[in-house]
Amino acid sequence: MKFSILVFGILREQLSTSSLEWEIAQEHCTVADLLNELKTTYPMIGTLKSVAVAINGEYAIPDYIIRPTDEIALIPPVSGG
Amino acid sequence: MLTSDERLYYLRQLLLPQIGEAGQQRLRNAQVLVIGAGGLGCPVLLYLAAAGIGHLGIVDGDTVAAHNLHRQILYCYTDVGQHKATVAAALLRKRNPFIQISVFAEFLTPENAASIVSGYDLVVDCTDRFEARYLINDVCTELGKPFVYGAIHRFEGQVSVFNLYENSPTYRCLFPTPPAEGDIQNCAEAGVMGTTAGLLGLYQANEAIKIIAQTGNPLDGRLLVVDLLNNREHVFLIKLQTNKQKIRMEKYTTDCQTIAKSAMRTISPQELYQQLSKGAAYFLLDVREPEEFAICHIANSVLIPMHEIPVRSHELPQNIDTVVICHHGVRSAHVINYLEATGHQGKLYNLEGGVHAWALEVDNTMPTY
Repeated sequence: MKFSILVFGILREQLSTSSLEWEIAQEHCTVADLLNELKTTYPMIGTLKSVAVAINGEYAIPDYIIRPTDEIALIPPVSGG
Repeated sequence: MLTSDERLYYLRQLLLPQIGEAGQQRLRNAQVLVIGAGGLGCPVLLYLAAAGIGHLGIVDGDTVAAHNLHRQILYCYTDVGQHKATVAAALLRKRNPFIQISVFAEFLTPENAASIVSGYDLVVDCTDRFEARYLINDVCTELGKPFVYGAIHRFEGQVSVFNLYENSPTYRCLFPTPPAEGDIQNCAEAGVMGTTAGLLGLYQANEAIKIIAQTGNPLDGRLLVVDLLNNREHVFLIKLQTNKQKIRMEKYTTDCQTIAKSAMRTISPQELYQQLSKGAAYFLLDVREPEEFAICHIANSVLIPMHEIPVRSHELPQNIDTVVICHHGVRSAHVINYLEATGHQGKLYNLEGGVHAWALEVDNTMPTY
């Protein structure tokens, strides 16, 4: 399955892009699986204790099973004020 | 009842069908606490005062610094060194003599939070530290107060309204666990444009006015993410995920932790300086961003930004001890954890306190940021 993922905040700089294409081999890929896969390529994601994942504009829980047409967004916390 | 002077002051917004006499009266009766009088807090305070919020509280223990002035538009150059909350209150009283302002020239702490917040109907979170954000979330959840959240990163910002109703989500529904200290850069480290702070602060003020005047659709259960470089706005739905009762029970124990560094080799700036002076050979790996490296770096250090480490780790020599360097020593610790987990052979040392500590302890001529 190939997904396109929008990224925000500090992840934009850490991943040097505002969106990325990601291919995953397994059929039943949950939000948690996707994050784990991304972490191996992008260690920065692994170091964040909380990254909100939104699917189709809605906050998604870690157990959510991703479908090929889903629009994914990674939203890290932001502290500046 | 509004006086004739007040009526004249608010005339143009009284004409709005969404505000009118009833809305203006609600604004006048409202008690709003603005926590943080910095980049976000300045526009929030300026516009809430101008809109006629009857009682404004300002919480900030900080003093004005020259590097605040490009975005903290309530302060003048002559205010440098003065308490922000006091200076802000003086200016707002001149702008609008019809409102009452309370000054808390102190930082919000677990000790003072409940007593300060309990006197207000609505809180606006304009802070710049996660510790404060989680504290505001938890104390507002405990006391059942709604709060308008805003946060900025470079040209991007987030806005939401939490706790508006009993079943509304909280900040912890979005980010359950506080990041480790130093994981996410704040404005001091990442840099920020004044216009980003201004625009996002105005979104917050606008949400506060809508909630109080009971008009429009506030961002309850929705996170607005604004990308000002590309003029894109995204709205994400958030549902209640956390147990509010649990937050109330735990009494806002601020759980911002630092990452485990127990097994990590470290070297202090002094120690590294002495070793280098004696001719010891180290590979000095700087993992900050190029813009940070351009401001200052230790002589002979090699720049590989943290996010490039996975694809460039083959450039690292394995037969020589490596000192990993960043701004304060947190990103470098993450890089060491990553390199050790992926089989790096040579010894890895974390420079304690990063280049900032190096500038303070070893090289006074080095610029800090």
